[in-house]
Amino acid sequence: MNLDKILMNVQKPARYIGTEYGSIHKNLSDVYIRFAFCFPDVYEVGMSHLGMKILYHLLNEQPDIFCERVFAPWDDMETQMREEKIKLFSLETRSEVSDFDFVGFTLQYEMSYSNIINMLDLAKIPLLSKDRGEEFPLVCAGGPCAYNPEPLADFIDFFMMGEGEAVIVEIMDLYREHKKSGGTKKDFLRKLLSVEGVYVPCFYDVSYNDDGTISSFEPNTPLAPRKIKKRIMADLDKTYFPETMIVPFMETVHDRITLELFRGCIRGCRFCQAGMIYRPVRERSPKRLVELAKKLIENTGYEEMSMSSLSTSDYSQLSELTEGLLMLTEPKKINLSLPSLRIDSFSLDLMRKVQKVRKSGLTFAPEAGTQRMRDVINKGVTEEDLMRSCDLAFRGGYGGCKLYFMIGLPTETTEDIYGIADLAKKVVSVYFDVPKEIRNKNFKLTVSASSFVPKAFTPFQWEAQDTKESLIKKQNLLKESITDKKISFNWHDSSLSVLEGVFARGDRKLCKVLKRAQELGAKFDSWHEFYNPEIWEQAFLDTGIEPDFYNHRKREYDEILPWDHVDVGVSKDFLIRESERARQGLITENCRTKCAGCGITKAFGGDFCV
Amino acid sequence: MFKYRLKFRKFGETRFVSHLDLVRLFTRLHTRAGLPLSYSEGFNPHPKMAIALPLSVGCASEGEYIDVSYDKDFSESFILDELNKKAPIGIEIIKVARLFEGAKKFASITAAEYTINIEGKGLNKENLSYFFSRDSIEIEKKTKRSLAVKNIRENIFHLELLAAYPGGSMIKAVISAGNEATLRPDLLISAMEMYIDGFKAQYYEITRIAILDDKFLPLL
Repeated sequence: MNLDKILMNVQKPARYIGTEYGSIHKNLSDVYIRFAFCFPDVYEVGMSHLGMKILYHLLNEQPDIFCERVFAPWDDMETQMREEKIKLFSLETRSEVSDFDFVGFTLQYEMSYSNIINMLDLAKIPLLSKDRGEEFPLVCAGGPCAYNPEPLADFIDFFMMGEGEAVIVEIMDLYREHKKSGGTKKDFLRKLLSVEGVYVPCFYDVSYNDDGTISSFEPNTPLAPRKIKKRIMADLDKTYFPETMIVPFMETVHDRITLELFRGCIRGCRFCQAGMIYRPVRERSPKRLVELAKKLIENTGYEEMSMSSLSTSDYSQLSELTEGLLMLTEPKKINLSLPSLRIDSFSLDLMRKVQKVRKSGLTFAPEAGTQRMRDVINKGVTEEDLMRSCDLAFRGGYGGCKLYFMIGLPTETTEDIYGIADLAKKVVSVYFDVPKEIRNKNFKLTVSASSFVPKAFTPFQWEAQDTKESLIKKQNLLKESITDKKISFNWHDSSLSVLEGVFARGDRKLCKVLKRAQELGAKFDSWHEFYNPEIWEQAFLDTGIEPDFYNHRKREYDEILPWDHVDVGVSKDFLIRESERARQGLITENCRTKCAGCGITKAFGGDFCV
Repeated sequence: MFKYRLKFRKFGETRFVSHLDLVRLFTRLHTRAGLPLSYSEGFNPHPKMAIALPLSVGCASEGEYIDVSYDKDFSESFILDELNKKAPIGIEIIKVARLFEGAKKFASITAAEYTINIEGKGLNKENLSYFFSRDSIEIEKKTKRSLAVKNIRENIFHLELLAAYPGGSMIKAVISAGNEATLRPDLLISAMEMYIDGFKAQYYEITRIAILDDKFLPLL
């Protein structure tokens, strides 16, 4: 194969080799089912993703299944591949992706969708499900964005809703039987209708009203369930977690051991999709985590370990856990990192113990500039909380921090924008109130403002997204009101947020747009150097689709939403209730203080959330 | 502290791993193998390790060297076995030797032997020996600011045609390497293309066979 020749001419060729320590290699003649796990981004991004690590090792535990990895080739590699007519290949055996039984994409962010289409194109697999004959693989997808599958419905044969550990094994078992007995792909897709959590788009018909909204969404076979309920793993201590991980040769974005503490979040911030879709809260025990950490350190040799969850401070036995982990990491000089920690005296003390060397990277996320706005989004943080945390941090020697905000939130006024600048100024004065002798001499405050994108399955799913023009105006307002040289201000490309918003709440009609955008060269939209708004404008124009319909329109509660056939366990009644409370500026307490009745216990039994 | 020199091969796809990544690879390999490396003192301690000579991305090697230090005394065969058990595909430790006072230093490295497998016509025994018999072989070398002309004749110690076949050939070259002077094998190929009429290498694969000291002997 002339792949080696090409690798001599591309940047970072280590992206394309599959011999890393921990990678799985099997004899193809011993393998009955081949699964190509595709991450629609470049290697160093994809290899940082925990879900892929879990499912890769889980599938490969089965002797007759071989799961291999596939990533989106970087631009230079793609050019070479297209010139040399090399099809998209897997890392482990360099096989063509079109030779696999399954091609599975993980959907982590909407801006990776164009890469999915581009990867199918590079694999020379027909893009649309209906055009793929029996000789082509089954194309499936899962991950958080699968909860609104419709913008990809024409490309993907079936979607898996929720946590993949159980459902993927069931699907493989079903496929093994199917392959033995023989039958068409359509036969198999029909069999999949009996597996809970699987959505097969071709068995559902959508019709639309004149205004473009959905008039009906109906199964076209009696076997297809009306609601597809997500799958969860009830007991994380008993859930598969790999005891080894692939150790990449090159540096990846998260180049460390990831230890997953718990799933779900007790907080219920109204803008946050993760906080809703990953419910219920389920923790791994400290005992299990320490046991896993020990094996992972031994098996990977990594010099850093990071705890992963939506909010580390909410882990109920954090001090017990960190004590156990420090006993493992300290003698081996392994760095322990604790992301998403709420700053109080306990956590600062913890960080002192854990991060002995560098004092960098404190991030606070007040999300909004005024108390009114923070109450609307149910971010249970007060100005006092923030000032107290900053005071503690600066007294502890931290030379500044990063403040993370969103603009374009529902009900936002200019006062809320000025509030961001005010809050930043107050943080600066907290620093100057700390006695000179104990504070860090180099002070820098970074204010970062991203643009809010309403997401499916959140209380804000009915809201109109702020327009690009309004977002730019607000960014400028903020820029002008931040005059202090000690504060640096970052913001996001607002046109990208608008595009993200379209796909986050999009319907099946968007498949046309995606296909057209790929033809026009769209890829790596989450990368500044590749994102090209003109391509997308053209694609919308060519397909006659109006993007404003998706993001700048306020929806009614009784509108049929494109994702209504998916059941994430959190009820629509709860989301409406939260949406109303947001309008009234009422906060809802966190799940441990008081159950808000989100519906998750009803959906999955009453043992959770205690 | 106990110092050891490891000799290892780098082959297959793993030859595309860069020098910097190789350093990290060896740190992690030692942790996995249960052979804790000694750490430097100071504010930001790092494991004590030194690679003899960088190898270009894409080059394979039959004999690279890395010096490591442990706080404990391990037997050479134990080190070799434990590291190989935990090494990724494409890295194989082939020799381990305890380093004592007076061991050959990396600074004594003078040359390296390569075999280069060339796809491309036009090379034969005669034109290669004519090339090698020249008094001066000048190449243009890009520096940060300008183009400089450099005579590389004295950096070529030995040049030999190992095999020739339709469409390609294989050569052996012993050329300068180390602190004093280094000639990259790809520059040698460019020089050959420049001086040998009708020779053009469409593609070539380089394998470093040995790293040699000032007496042209392998370090280990």
